[in-house]
Amino acid sequence: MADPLRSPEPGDDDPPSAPHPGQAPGTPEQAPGNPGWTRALLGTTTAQREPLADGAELLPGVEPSFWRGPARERFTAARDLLAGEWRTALDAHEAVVRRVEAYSTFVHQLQHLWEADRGNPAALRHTADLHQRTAAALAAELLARAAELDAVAVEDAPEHDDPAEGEPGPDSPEPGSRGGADPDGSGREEGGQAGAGGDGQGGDGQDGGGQDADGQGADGQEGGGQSADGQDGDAQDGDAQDGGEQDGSGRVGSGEGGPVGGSPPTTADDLFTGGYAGDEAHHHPPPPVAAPDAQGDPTTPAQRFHLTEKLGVQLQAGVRLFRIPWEAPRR
Amino acid sequence: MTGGFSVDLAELDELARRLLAVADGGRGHVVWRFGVDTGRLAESDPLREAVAVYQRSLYAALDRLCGGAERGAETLRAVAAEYRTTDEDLAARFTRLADTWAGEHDGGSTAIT
Repeated sequence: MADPLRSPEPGDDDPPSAPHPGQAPGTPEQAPGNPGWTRALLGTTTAQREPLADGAELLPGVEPSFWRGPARERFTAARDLLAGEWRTALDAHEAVVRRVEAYSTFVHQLQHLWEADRGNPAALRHTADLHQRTAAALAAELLARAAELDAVAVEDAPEHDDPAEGEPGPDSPEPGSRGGADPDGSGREEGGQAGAGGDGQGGDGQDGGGQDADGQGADGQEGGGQSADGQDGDAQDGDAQDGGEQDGSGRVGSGEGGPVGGSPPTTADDLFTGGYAGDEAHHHPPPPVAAPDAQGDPTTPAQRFHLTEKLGVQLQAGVRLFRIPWEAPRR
Repeated sequence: MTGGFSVDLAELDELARRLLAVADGGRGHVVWRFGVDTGRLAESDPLREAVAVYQRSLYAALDRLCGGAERGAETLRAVAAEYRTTDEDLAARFTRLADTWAGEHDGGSTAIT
């Protein structure tokens, strides 16, 4: 998000720049709302749906064909969890797109409504108030959806974590004042759509705005009281970044001092949350397997072959071995 | 499945590549080059702050989702590498074991260094 969107060329529904001859005293010169900016917002949010939809669609297709066994089952379970998170984010964003689309239609129609009511100050004030409430309802909806998104793909805190790691990382989204953390925005959304359905008729639009006002007043109060939720979400973002850094450590066994046995991830979460192998906070290495015939070093080739055959089977089964009894430095 | 497994290491690499493609497609999408210019709204406009907050949360969520796909890819590649290393290590052990047997069968005349 580097460059801001350029403002579109003024259109027929952009706010008029010159005062209208029949302007009523005490009312703004132009209709409330910014149709051009709203149109750009709608275009951007609509386009932002695509990468989310792509991920939600592609991830379930990452399906092994030849991989068999418990690790494959864990992989597909983890993949399904991640795909579900993508879907959750997509659903939240699609709700925002619909809401912004309704608001854009509302603002567009508001320009015509404003012109039609030029000589009626009461109607203009009502229209301006209607827009204010509708914009506030959209803002509350956006904040609620932001809170939903803050809970998407957030890693659980590691069991033996340093408490300091729970603080927001340097790159985590800045903890803005998150009002309106109420995730249930359906009622407000309906209100906004009702307001947007004015269709150039003053009576309909005002009725819709009345419904908006009822729903939005309570939302505004809810929003202000839940800013702590937003801060929690930021703290969890910091955890996510910490987890990512831990992933950078090598996971491939060194092979020094004994055989290398990479045990596959054991839980679905491990695969996609950075809790595998080198991540000591998540990963507990399996206990060393005591060689069954380790009472004494094998002395005959037959004994050695027998032991090696057993260990080979264990290696193929993913059992981590730390010691082979007869593996002394060769002379 | 109660026991046993089979792994196609090339398939693990391919799965990792596809997961990375999902992550790259998300983060690298052209739509993130642009933003919403909330500066065009009045400071008193409630949408000004709300849109900015939402946009930040949206990208942060997408970034975490892409990070999840990346970690899955990294894990797959690491596991594939471990499988290869384990196989090579086991092969080396049997090679040494075979050398040892050869030395014993020829009465110790085969020099083992």
